[in-house]
Amino acid sequence: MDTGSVNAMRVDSARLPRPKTTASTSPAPKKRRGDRSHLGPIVLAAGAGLLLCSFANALARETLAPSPLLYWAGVLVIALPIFYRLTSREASFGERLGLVCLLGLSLYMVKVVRDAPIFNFSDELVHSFNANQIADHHHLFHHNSIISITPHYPGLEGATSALMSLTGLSSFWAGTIVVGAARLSLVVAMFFLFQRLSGSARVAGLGVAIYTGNFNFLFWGAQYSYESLALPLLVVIMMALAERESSPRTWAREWGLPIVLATVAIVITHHLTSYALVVFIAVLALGHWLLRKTWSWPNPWKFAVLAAALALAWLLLAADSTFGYLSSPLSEAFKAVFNTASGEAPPRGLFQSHGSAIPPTPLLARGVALLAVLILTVGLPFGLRKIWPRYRSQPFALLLTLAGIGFFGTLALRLAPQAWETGNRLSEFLFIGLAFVLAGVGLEKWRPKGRPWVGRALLAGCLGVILVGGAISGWPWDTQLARPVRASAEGRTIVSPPLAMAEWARDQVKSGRFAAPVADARMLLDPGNHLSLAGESPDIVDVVENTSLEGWEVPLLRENNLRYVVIDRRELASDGIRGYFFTTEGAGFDETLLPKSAATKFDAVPGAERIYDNGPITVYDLEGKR
Amino acid sequence: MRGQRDLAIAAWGSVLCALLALVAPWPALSLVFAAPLALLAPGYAIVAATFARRDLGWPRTALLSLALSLATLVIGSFLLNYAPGGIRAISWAILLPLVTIACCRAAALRRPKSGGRALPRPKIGRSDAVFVLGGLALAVAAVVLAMTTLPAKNARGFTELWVTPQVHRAGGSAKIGVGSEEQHETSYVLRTRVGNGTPAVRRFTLRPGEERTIRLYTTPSGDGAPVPVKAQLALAARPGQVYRQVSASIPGTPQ
Repeated sequence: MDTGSVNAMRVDSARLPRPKTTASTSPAPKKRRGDRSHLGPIVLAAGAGLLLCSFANALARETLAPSPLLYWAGVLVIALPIFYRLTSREASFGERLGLVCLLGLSLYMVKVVRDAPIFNFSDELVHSFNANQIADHHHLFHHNSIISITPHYPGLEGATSALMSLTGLSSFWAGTIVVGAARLSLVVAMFFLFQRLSGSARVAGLGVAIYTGNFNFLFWGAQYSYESLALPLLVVIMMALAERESSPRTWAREWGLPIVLATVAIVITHHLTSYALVVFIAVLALGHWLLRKTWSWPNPWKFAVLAAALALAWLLLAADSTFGYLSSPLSEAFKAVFNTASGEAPPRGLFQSHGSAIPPTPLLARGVALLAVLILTVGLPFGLRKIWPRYRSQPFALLLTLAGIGFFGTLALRLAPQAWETGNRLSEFLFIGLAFVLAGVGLEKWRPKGRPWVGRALLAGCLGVILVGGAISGWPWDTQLARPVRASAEGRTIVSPPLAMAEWARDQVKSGRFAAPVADARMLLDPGNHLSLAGESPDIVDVVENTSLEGWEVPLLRENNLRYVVIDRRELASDGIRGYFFTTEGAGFDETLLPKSAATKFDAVPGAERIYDNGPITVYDLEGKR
Repeated sequence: MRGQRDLAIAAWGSVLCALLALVAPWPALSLVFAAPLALLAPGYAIVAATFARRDLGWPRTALLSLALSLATLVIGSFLLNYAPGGIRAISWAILLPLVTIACCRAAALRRPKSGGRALPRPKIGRSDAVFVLGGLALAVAAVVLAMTTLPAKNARGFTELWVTPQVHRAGGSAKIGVGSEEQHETSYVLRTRVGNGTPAVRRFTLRPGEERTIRLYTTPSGDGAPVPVKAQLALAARPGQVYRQVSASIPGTPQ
């Protein structure tokens, strides 16, 4: 691979001074013997690992209950050769860059081959509905009944609509391509960021490798959701700020436009990321002032002001409901932390799913997840020891270090029942700092008895544990593998009960809103293409789960203009992760049904007609007798 | 843009890609043209215009091209929202080449006369090429396998029954549908009744994934009262046991 003039970083440049100019101005070092790129065989291994993951998922879709080890073996076949090569001194800058791209894309494809060709993460169905609305109506800001804030941050769906309208692709494929492009931007920008800050391509590659162990990297962060686009753009801005800082002043101005464009895009795309951006640049500017006592170049305070002004303007002009959307979970999180810390409420158990019938995470998997956290914790002081003498006068590196330390605070949030989600979201951002701190530990240089491979192999193994452990912590164990939402039977295709109901609604119901359990409501959005309400506000949960009809239920439905009620007797219908699939004979936990009266109670409602029945799912038309 | 080969390729390429993406008959073929138009060209042009006086090196240029193209799509959708016609294929096909050409023009004006950029030429050995192609083939196989609908013998099959009332000028009707999502061919007995009429019984067999719809008509009622329609489905193996049932009222159409 031609690395162009940026080959400058091909030597293990941990020893290099921090670059002051762009890499393109550095001379390319001479090629040494044994420096041959290993990218080709590693690409082949990644392809094999991906096929192994796809095979494990295929077995799971066939309801053959494959060993999870097959799937994890696939993940490790992708990652370990990349990790091992990234630890080497010999790999060139270009090879490391190629490895990082390969790592990011291959791990993204692990999620894609789990789900294709239909979205089945709960937020994905919400965003794909928004994208379909834009494609159908040619305008942004159409109402979304499940997460009403999402149409007010239409960046992801707007970008997706470009590919949808130009090509005729479905929102699944267009969205998968957009998020894939964002993923690639994320890992490459992070590589350049770490390389610019550390002056070492090896540290940069290892930093990205460590970041893949963040709890949300494999699944949650790869879903078709607004943060999956906004976070990569945030990292691009971080990289641009680092590049700007290390450029001569006459060139620094050029970085302004990319930073501004990416800032505008983030503000349109995702609330939390735009606020994280404001905080990040503001603290960076403050750090510059504290360490260098100046507000002039390269202090980025102007970008902080711009980002804050744009985020505020968007909040006030286009998305004022964000206040309510964010304030409720944040205040709940604060309360939960206080209650747990004061002993008023018991701590949340780790590896807990919300239904008692959900199979627990096996001990071995819990052990790997905890081992991953242990490795991160043990590595931190070693990383800090390297960071402090080298970077103590550099605000950017110090800010990342603070973020890295802060990551462990998010672990504590996981112990408070209502705060774990806040901690989970925060961890994605703070893990960037932790990855930077840990990348400089230098375990790969350890050579007991002159065996250089020992340190490298140990580090690659640790990275493997961090990757697998992070994925186990970030996504429920029982849903790491796919479940069947479509299946073939006697040469034709059959679909799961909620999908069948949603497709019926799309094809047969012209208009009208639905009240439904969580999973059905999301499928009614996409592919159902109908507005639906679920959850506790308004109290749809009780309407669809109670075994007898309370006096307030029908008036509530009418007040909210909900003509149709979906009663799904599967207990899993209330589960936004597990509720979309076929019930599996013998699985036990997904066969639990609500009492029949949960559905039949609507037979007694005057004017209501049962217009759809597929066994577990019944749909009533409250205006059926008009 | 004379002498600036990269800019000429980006500018004219974006126009060509926009045209071909619009006229390509299949989405996959259209994507071949739309992907560089949407995910590369605008970003590349913006980078070229912004960093006209120095070479960032192709890795950083490639990253910024991708990231700024994504930013352009986000911002572009917002701008198109207020443009006549809104967000449509044709508006994207105009906007994206417009951004690309404008930025390429700006880059050409800002660049030093000898500032043409060489396009990267990846060097890859034969053995590496074989490995990479092999890896890509495996990845494609993985995606194909993921998209293949497979048998799921432990998945619990089911049957759906539904009714949709419809109103016509001459009267009303109800469409009744039976869809089999069962694992095996299944025989059914469908009993339907319109108003106070005589129940009708239909027996039929559906293969998995098959659907049968029937339409029941009513004559206009004298007083405009709705006409009830009921449908009960039983498995042929247990004809006396109601398996599914639905009902609807066909809105009245007074004579």
